[in-house]
Amino acid sequence: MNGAEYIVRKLMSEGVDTLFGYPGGCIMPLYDALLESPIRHILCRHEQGSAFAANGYARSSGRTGVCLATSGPGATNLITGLADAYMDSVPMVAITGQVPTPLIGSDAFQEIDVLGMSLPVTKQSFLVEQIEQLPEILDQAFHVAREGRPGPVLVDLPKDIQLATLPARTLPQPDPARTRPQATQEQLRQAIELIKASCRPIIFGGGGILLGDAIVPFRHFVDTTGIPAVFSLKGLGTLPGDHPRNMGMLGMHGSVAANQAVQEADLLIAVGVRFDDRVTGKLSRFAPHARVIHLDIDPAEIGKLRQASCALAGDIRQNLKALAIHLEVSDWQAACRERLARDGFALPRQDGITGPHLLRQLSAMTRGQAIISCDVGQHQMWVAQHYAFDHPRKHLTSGGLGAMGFGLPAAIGAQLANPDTLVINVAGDGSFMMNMQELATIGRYRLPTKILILDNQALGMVRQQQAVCYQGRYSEIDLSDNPDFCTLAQAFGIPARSLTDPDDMAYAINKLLETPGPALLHVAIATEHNVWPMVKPGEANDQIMTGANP
Amino acid sequence: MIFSLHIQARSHPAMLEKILQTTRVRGFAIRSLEVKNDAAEQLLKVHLTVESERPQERLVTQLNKLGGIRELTALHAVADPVPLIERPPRNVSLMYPV
Repeated sequence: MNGAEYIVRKLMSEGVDTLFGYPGGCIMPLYDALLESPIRHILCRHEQGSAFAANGYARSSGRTGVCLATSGPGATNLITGLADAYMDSVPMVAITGQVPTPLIGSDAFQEIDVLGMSLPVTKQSFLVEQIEQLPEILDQAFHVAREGRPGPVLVDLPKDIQLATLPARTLPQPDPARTRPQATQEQLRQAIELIKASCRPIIFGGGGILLGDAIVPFRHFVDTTGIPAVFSLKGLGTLPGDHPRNMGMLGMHGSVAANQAVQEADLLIAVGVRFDDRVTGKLSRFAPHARVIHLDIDPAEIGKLRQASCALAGDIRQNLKALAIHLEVSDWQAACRERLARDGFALPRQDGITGPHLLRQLSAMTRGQAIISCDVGQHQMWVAQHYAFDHPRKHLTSGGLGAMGFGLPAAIGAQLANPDTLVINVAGDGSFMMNMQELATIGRYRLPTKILILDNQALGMVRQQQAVCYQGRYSEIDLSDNPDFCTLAQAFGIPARSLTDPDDMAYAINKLLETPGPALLHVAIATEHNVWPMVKPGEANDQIMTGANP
Repeated sequence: MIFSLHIQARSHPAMLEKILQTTRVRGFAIRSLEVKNDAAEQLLKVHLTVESERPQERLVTQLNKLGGIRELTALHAVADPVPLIERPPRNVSLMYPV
């Protein structure tokens, strides 16, 4: 058995049923070995598309996403997808071809030091220097991608290693198991005392709840304690949209109600969050009256930005179970409910089609049960504000990296992982153009993925920040020369239609959802529409702008 | 503040780069570095002295979670009497508008 054949066998033993990739010179032995395997290979039209598709596959299924690329430009094109997975803790394994070992360091054709380039954007990167190392490195790669806080791993494979014969008795020598921190009984007792002593507690939930497989204990914790909860972008769906304690998203484009509740809280129970600046605004003024209980599997996140009065590192599930006590906070619950009714996300009073109206309609017509794969920009925030997700695995969004072009290929990965589920890519016109070549992938595999483009003929979020922070000095945000997106889709064999009349909104969405196979709906919206509320970058969350006073 | 770290890490390609990259990106300047490769044990033995206004814990926790780290000891922390290189004070604020 040669190295390439061993890799295929290893992928099968890891339960990998789908790969995303693009062949090239130095990865050819592996592609040759794949011909004999039952693993489905999805040929994307750009390596960045492969990486985002593997990313969407992993996010929507909880399984490890795997992508392949050749050396040099193939490998460098993966980097943004790996960075996205690193920032959002998505389990991925990227396998790259490399020039043969004798040529490494000779500036050979398509040689690039992807091992070095990938270091800041992976949990771990490996170069296989000898065939004997291959089994151990692959074992480690899959283990590291999944264990603890998940993340991407890169394995760089020189071509001669793929072709070398594996010695008959090559046994992996795994790294010794790492001990994970766990909260002590004393720490848990202190946390319970803080909860009992609190009059205005609030839960701040993030993506770590899903990653820690803690949705059920989290919901039990909320229901038992009765504490209202706010969420980061990646925490949306952790409580159903209509849950009485769900106050929705906080932060830069969070609701006034959620942000004010946090600013008034005397206890912040932070679960699986990293206090991102898009959430906290000016850190020194975030939740100024609150003591903090911080639960996270990654000890490096605790105290990184906000000091915790009580640090509970380790398994979120166990810690939440230990903290689930009955509380009497009915006055605070009522105040939060009243505030949410008054200052929750509202629909704008504007003529024509608006993003919020459209997404609230989509949410109602899909009952919050579709997988929504967003791109990055205004539409992404409108999805977060107005689509009522019933589970966080259905919300695919580039949260930490904020990578435009994520949505379409991630939707492809999600559709392949969830063939019987409705998957919708909600895109902006700017983001869509960044990876629109993947329409060919949707067309080739006849994936029933739906695409909804909110086209304001501008880089809307940049325009909005230039309006608010740069006195309306608009610089390079005009996209009024966009192509005809319907014609473009049809060129790839994908049926498409446009929506321009607000009275046709429900009809057009229905047509999109009912069309068999892939379909695209292009929606023209006004360039001037902004996302409200908004906290200016670097300002405190209590300086939130509602749009009435921009 | 200046402090030293003694690190034992698995000796594989880019391990040292990863340690140094993590140190830099987390806001710690390297004042001295000593590395020995123990071929028999396949271990890198790294003695690192760094300088930062950020808490030592912030680097220790980040290094500690790197794959391949076998042992990490923060040896001591001392006030910085004389900077090795004179330079204007750095803005170490974690919040800035972006």
